[in-house]
Amino acid sequence: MRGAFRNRIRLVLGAVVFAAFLILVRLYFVQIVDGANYAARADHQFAAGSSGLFDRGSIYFTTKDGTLISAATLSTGFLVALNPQTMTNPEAAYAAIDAVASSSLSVSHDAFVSAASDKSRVYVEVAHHLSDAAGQALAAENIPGVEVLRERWRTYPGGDLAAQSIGIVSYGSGDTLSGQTGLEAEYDSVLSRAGDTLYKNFFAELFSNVGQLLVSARAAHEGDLVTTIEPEVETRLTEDLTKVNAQYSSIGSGGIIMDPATGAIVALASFPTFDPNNLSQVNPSLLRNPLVENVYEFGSIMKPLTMASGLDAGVITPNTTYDDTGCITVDRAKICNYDFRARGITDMTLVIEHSLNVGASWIATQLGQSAFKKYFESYFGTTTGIDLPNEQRGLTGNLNTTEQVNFDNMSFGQGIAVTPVAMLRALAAIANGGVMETPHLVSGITLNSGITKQLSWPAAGPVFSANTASEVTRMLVTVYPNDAKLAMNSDPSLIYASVPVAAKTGTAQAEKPGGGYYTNVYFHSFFGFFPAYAPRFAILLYTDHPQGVTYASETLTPTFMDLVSFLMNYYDIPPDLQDVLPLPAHVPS
Amino acid sequence: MLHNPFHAFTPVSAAATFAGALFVSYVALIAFVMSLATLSVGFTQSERSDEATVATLEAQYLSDLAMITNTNYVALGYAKPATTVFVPAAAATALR
Repeated sequence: MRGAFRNRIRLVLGAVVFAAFLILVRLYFVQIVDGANYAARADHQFAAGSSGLFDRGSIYFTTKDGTLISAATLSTGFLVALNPQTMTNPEAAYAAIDAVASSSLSVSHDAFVSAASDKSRVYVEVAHHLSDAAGQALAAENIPGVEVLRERWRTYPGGDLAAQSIGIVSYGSGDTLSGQTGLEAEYDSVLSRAGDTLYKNFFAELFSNVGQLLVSARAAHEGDLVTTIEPEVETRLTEDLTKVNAQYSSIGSGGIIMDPATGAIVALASFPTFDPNNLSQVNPSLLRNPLVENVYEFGSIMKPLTMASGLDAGVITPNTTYDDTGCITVDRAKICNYDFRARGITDMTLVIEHSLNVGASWIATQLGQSAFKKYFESYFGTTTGIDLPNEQRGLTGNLNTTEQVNFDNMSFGQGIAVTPVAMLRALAAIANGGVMETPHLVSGITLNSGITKQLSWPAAGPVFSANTASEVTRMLVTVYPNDAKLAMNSDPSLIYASVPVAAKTGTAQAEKPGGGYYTNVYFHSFFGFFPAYAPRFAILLYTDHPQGVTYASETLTPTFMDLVSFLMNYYDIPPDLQDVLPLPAHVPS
Repeated sequence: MLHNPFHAFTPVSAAATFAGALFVSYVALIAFVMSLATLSVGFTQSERSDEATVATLEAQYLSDLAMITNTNYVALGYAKPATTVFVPAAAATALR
């Protein structure tokens, strides 16, 4: 009897101890594991109204020394809301708000007074993004019917720097703020902070989702993005493109600077662009990222790829010659060199150096349609896999035709349209021993736990041999001195690089909307990398519909030279006077 | 012989003592949690304010960067070096 009583007592004691243990566990999770969430909720209840404070991870630029600079972060301040039912003097309220936050008022005086007089409403937001000082000053006035509530919002310290690639946050079609474009959209699941349900049943939460309490799935993927974009290089590229666009009244210009060995994009910019801090006046078409969403016919910067294909297939060598007649007729279509001049017996290096369309067509013929298709599909048959949304595939339908003229056209960059990032990925293989890397913007994710998860970007694979890459590089190195000389004739302040530079210009006839090509409207492009025999940077530039100028060597060579000079100084790239080619005394016409 | 209830160790008294201790601990923990929560609110607010301040400074830094990039040094009277001389890199042994 006594033993049974003791057993019951022990049972009750055990239950009490177990309950106490559960409570302690619960306290541990409330305070330690979920402490930040509850603090945020408390913060929200302390200052805000019914909606939670916006929270989102940051996106960082990375300077060359590894310092992180915010590309997208959060600002904290106050919003002002009216409660018309308790408002006594709308005019006085307007005057008080206008005095401390005139620039933040989102309504006119008349709209303010009208809203404040509508007694059927209890909550009307009239001003956003007040600074702490302004918000606290207004709150201290304690105006009846005026509520000053804490607010957080997305801010982009760099303004228009890489705006189309960083992206924006907005409501989109839903009722929650989320990334809509650029990295904000691509990594939305990493950057967004899941909404917390404020009202949970204590016991239900305690006894359900035990696994989630022990191992937080959110903590495993929420974090901040660390990009490979270098802010100073990005600034330089943006300014240079802005100048080109303004100088030639182009409808758009863009550029990408990439490390060819890794695919890490150091800078990318396009113009026109927008300021993501002020979206109210932005044309929605500007949100589109032309570097991955637009396709262009790049013209002659395609020739190095044609040359690489021919060399790799073994149908030509650098010393192979052909008889250049200036123009040829293929399938009843006439193909000519840019200057209509015949060069006679010409070797392959001169095809690149003088950018000969007839020579490129000749290589395409030697290669044959099947091999040409195989190589070009390896370059452009898939998207690059860059970590930006809405990447478009190239328009490569002509690879599936049988008319030789289509292949000849593609050999010098007409009749095939690809995105700038796809073009750079393919061309950068020349600078990387024939291996195409995957272009990317994000190098790692800093998780909320503080751990940085490095992202890996496997190469797309070799597309031609390393020997082919070095032979094409030697050809491209011969192009740069002539282009530089021409540019320096116009602008003597330009600096001739003290390292060998591989480069190629492209001047494509712009396509008419209904088909065919304009004869006097162009798309200019420029590709180059340096130091040519140990490449650090590959650069692709373009400007669309430049006015009053014909050749890309006039529009983009100065920009390219400026970027090379800047990057050499900024990254302390030592000169290589032994391999650099001298400036020519005159440029062959 | 008098019975001293304080000297008697029974399961009931042990349980009561333990329950009392748990209750006191629970109240103490609640107080502790409340104070920590208050501090957390303050720290979170402070952290957010600091982040916003840093964002402002970063915006200023990037703006200055753009201004420097845009500066036309020739217009300011600076001239490009007339000649550039490169010094051969010293051998590693020369640095010792």
